[in-house]
Amino acid sequence: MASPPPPPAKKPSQLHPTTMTDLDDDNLREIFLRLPSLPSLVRAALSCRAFLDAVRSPAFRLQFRALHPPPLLGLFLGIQYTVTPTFVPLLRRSDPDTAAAVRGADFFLTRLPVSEDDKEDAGPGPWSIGACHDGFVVLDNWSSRQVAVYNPLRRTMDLFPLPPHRDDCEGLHFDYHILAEEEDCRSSYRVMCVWHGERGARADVLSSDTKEVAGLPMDKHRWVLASAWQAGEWLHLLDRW
Amino acid sequence: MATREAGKKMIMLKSPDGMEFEVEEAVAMESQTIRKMIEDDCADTAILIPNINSKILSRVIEYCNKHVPTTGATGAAASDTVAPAALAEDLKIWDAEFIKVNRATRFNLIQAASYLNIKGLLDLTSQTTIDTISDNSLEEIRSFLSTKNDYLPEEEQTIRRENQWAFQ
Repeated sequence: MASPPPPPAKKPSQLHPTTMTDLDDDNLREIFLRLPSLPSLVRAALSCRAFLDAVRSPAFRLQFRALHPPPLLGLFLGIQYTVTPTFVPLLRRSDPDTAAAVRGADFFLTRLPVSEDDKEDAGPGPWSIGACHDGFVVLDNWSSRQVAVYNPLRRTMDLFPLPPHRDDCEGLHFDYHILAEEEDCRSSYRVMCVWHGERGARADVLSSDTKEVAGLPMDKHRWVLASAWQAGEWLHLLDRW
Repeated sequence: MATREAGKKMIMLKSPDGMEFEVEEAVAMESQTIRKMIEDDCADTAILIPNINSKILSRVIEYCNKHVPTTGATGAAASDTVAPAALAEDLKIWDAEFIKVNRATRFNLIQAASYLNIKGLLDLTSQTTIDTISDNSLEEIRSFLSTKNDYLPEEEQTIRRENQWAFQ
């Protein structure tokens, strides 16, 4: 008689018909991986606590994301610096989940504060997009000296003071870079505000955890921003010389 | 039940409720779990399959019998005369009939496919479950899967508000 490997952790009860709640977490994850989109996963996972617990595993998140790359929902078109960028959705009518996400999200960026000068106008003033990545939009307003980190899908916005323009940053290039990560149903981010050029580089970091701006010291090496198209997205690399 | 053919190694699978199933080794090896036991020489001629009752085990064997790659005298003839695409189409139709079972049986098949590590069967059973819920609302999913909403009303409200984009 052979000795079999250890039996499944959860023994199916013979007393009542097996339901999905009798499946163990591995079985549940196996099923949920096959859901067609993130919204369908959210709905299924929220139907009871056991399902939500099963999909909380970071390994599962990574696997699901690899199988379901986030779709492009649309484009922000910036027209000069006088009006707020306009969102143009790329609607795929065959996909009700994407259409619902576009309908439910705040792509008009309605939470952007309206400055005193612009109150008589329709729009919230001269906000322009600095970066857009992983569901976040970074906008800055050089007249009110603010930076907004906007998540249109979650309809949330954090405001930060614009990192100070220090004397040693004169003549340097300025970019934003978004580092986002999903963490237990919350998405956290850090936004790097980078001055860089021949004379060195300096970064300020905006963080979703502290809601504060942290300045990093000036690095006096020559930094050059190199961009490369790799695996379907732009990689921005700062090379230190 | 598989018929014993000359030269084919047979193996006995036993369910915990005492039923015995004699199957070709090649059919049993559709299960990666059993394959590993056989390859590691841990398997004698009889293998006890814990936690999978005879009703489910017989369905699993039925699936493996159909899906085992056709080799040997009759199998070679079949694949010579029938185009692979037609064979695949035939299997698809067979799978669709096979999975017409009640929900409880389907979940038992998922557990069995997962434990025995039969990828095709796990794909079929999981995908069928997904097809019943992917386009549905939260309430419909709960009813289809017979899950109980164990969130407090205020918790559920918060969840819905924070994930509004996922609800149509």
